[in-house]
Formats: sequence, structure tokens, C-alpha cells
Amino acid sequence: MRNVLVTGAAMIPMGRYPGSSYAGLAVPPVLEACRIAGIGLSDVQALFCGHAFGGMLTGQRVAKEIGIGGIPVVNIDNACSGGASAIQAGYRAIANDEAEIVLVVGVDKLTQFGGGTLPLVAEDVEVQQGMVMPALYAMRARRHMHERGTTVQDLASVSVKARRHGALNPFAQLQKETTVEDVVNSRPIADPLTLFQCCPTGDGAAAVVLMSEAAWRKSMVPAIRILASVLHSGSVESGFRNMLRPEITYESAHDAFEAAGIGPQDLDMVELHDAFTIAELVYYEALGLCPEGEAVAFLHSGATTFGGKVVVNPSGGLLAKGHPVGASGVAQVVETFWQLTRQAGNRQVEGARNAMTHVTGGGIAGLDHGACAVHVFQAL
Amino acid sequence: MDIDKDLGARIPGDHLQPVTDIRMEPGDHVGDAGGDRLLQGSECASCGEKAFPTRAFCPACGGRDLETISLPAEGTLYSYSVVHVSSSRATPYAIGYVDLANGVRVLAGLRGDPAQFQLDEAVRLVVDGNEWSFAPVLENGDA
Repeated sequence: MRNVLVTGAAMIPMGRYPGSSYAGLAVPPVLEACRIAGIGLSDVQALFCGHAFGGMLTGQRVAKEIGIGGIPVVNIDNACSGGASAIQAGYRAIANDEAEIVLVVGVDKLTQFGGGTLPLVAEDVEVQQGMVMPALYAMRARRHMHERGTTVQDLASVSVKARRHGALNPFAQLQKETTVEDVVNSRPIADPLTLFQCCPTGDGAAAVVLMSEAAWRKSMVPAIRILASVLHSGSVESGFRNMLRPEITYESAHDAFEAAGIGPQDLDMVELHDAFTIAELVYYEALGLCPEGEAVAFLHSGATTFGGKVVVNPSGGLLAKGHPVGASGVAQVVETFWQLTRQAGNRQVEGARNAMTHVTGGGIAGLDHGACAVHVFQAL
Repeated sequence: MDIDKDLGARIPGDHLQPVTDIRMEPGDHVGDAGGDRLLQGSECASCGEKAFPTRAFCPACGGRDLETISLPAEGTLYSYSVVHVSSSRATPYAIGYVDLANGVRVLAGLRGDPAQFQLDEAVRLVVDGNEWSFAPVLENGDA
């Protein structure tokens, strides 16, 4: 397998853009990522587009606006993991010697649904019973409270941290800090989760350019190396699943660390899938950032904010930055690119060298999540 | 290895017909069992896996030799949530994971006062016409 580098990255500020098409959202970061990488549009040899709700030929609808054509364009849906799955497809194309320069786009537009929870598949037996994504995470949260003595204030503290980080990020949908009190008192969504414990609904797009080391050597632009790219599907369970121990994330992270040749103790920052507050606590343990049973104490210790041992979601995460489903996996890599190339300004993680991105995709019965993508990166 | 010269030319058998598995009505999951009305699931004759709802393929081994079974009416509440946002149904409503005595977990609507929903405590199936849900088992044994 050849080395693969991220050599350009860009995103639009996440927010609500009802007047923008999928191409209108995605073309600006595509052009900027190519500019940063020092390539022309005609240098792109393949395009992988991650999205969940774009409809037919989303990638081509973006590409044709700027004259990209005559190359393989592949559209990838993996729910919230669509963008990260597209990065994996690009990574494999280069690692396996099939391309030198690949463009990856993640884009989604949730304002098309006019608010509310994410539309899930109607033929699913749990969806028919009233399952919505906040309820799934709410049940995780209630179980966490039951088994660990976790409080609603503990959960709210995750949002407070996320919003504090997001306040430093001009690309975040929510840039205002909040308090434990305000989070707890925001309107109920799915008990015990309140509005400010849920990622906001919005639109977004992000793009990255991936290159072989040989292609990069011609320009030597600031770049980071992909040490591992892992994608798993969930394993079905008809019986008593332990909701505090999501096997798909444990196993994906395990494989990623093995491929990268580093361990959780070596990570300086992580962008993880904090779609709801409880997720961050569960994933601290699943990614091995802290021992099992210690997630709440780990959060309160300050280990996961600036100045701590491993900064989790320096961008503000999905809770503050926003979560336009298929865009999120790529946007996490954009943040990682900025951090590991020392271009993150006032939210720079000091000395950041090793980073992980983690994103899941859920919403069907019997699985913890349908998809999970984990990537490990290293500064050059 | 032997090849079947007619593999692509024979009239497709039952095993190649699509499975009619869409069950959109709550009542589709309930069946009669010795006078009781109980949830229906499947048990795999090959590996013994039990699952809800009934299905044509075993989720553990991929086998197709499945038997319809009635599921226990009693279980314990693993977790639940009262949902306040929905574009398709009246809110608030409560759903929860019920762990049945035979090892199968079911996502069910919950009825009753949420103040009485306790994790790891007993709940019981309530069938009302074509609707079904679970409710806490009270101290006097009622659900």
C-alpha cells in the first residue's frame, strides 16, 4: 500500500442555506481545496462524493458546474458516514495505485426537510414503532445514568465544552457559548436529551484533495499523512445489546490503531461523532481515550479541551459545528488538516501531531450503527 | 467442480421469489396463541436464533428454515425515552427496549405514567385491538 496524503482541504461555514442547491453548497469548497493543494481541476483523476439525501448523481451535479468530467465519479451513501466512506474510497484508490490525485466531497442539505428529526427508512420495524435518532441516543443516555450514576448536568457539560470550542470556529453553525443551566433548560427533544444536547439541523459541504506521495513531491504544499483508514458495518443483534459498549466503534478503532501503529495515548486530538451529548462519553471509552467507566470524570478533568491530554472536537464537533450528515466525515478531516498543518489559529491544538476522526451512521433496527469510519492522521 | 448446465435457464423456484416482508401495521406483529394474543417472532431451526419480528432469513446464520413462535408477554425495561418531536405522530409518546424472557429485545411503545417506568423492572405486553405496547407491572400485578 502506498502512502496517501491530504494536501488540500476546505469547507463552507455550516448553517442554513435554503436557497442553495447541492452544487451551490459544494462547489466553493471544491475550488478552494484544489487551490490549497496547488492543482488544477483537470488534474483530478477521480471524484468520490459522500451524501445521504442528495438524490441521484449528486457528485456529477457538483462536478459539471466546474467542468470536471470524463473521470470516475462515485456517489456514496452511508448515512452520517457517507463523507468518511468517500474519503476511504479515495484513500484506497491511491493506496492501491489506481490514481495519483483524488477529490473527495461531502455535502448534505437538511433544510430541505423543513426541520425536525432526520427522516429514517419507513420500512424499518423500529422506525414504525416511533424510533427517531434522538430517542436512540436518549435511551443510551438513560442507561448510562442508570448504570453509572451519570447526571443530566454531566451530559450538558459535553455541550458546554463543544460550544466553547465552536465559539472559536468561524465555520461552526453555533458560535455562541452556553451554560449547563441553559442546556438543561432548553426544550425537551427525547428525555433526557434537550435541544442543546442535540446537533443542530443545517446544510454544509466540505472537500479534500488526496494525493500519492509521488504526486505531492512535485509541489510539497503543507500536507498530512493518512496512517489508517477503516470502515466497518454493524453486526446485527436480536438479543440484549449493551448500549454503552458499541461494538462497531470499538472494533473500528482497534483496527485503525493496529493499521496506524500508534495507540490512543499517542493522539493529540480527536474529531468524534458527538451527534448527541451521550455519544461523546460513550466514545471516549470506545476509542480507548480513557478506561471503561471513567468517561464522565475524564470530561470533567479537562483532559479533552484545549491544554488537555487529547483535545476532543476542537472544531466544536457536531454539537456546535453542525451536522449536515454526509458532509460531516469530510469536515472532520478539514479540521484535522488545519490542526496538523498548524493553520487553526486561535483554536490550534499545541503541538498536534497525531489525530483521529470517527464518524458513525445509524438508524436501522438490530445494529448499534450501520456504518463506522475511523481515520488516523499524522503531521508531516 | 460440477456445473449445472440449466442454472440460468430453469423456471425460478420458490427460493428465488422475493419475500413479502413489509409489515406496516402494528397488528401484523400479533398472533393468537392458545387464547392469548402475543407478539410473533421467529426461531431458526438450524442455529436456534430467536428474533423479533417474524422473518424469512435467520439474522445469525442466514438460514431459511424459520419457525414462527409466540414471544413471552413479560420482560424487563432496558431503557426508554419520552419523545417530544415527530413529524408523523402525536407527541409526546414513549418508546423503550423491552428484554423478553427468551432473550429477544423488542422496541415497543410504552403505556402508562412515565414516572412509573423503571429500568430493569418488569413490563408486560398489552394488546388492544390491533395495537400493542408494554406497560409497567404494578405491585398488584396489573399492567
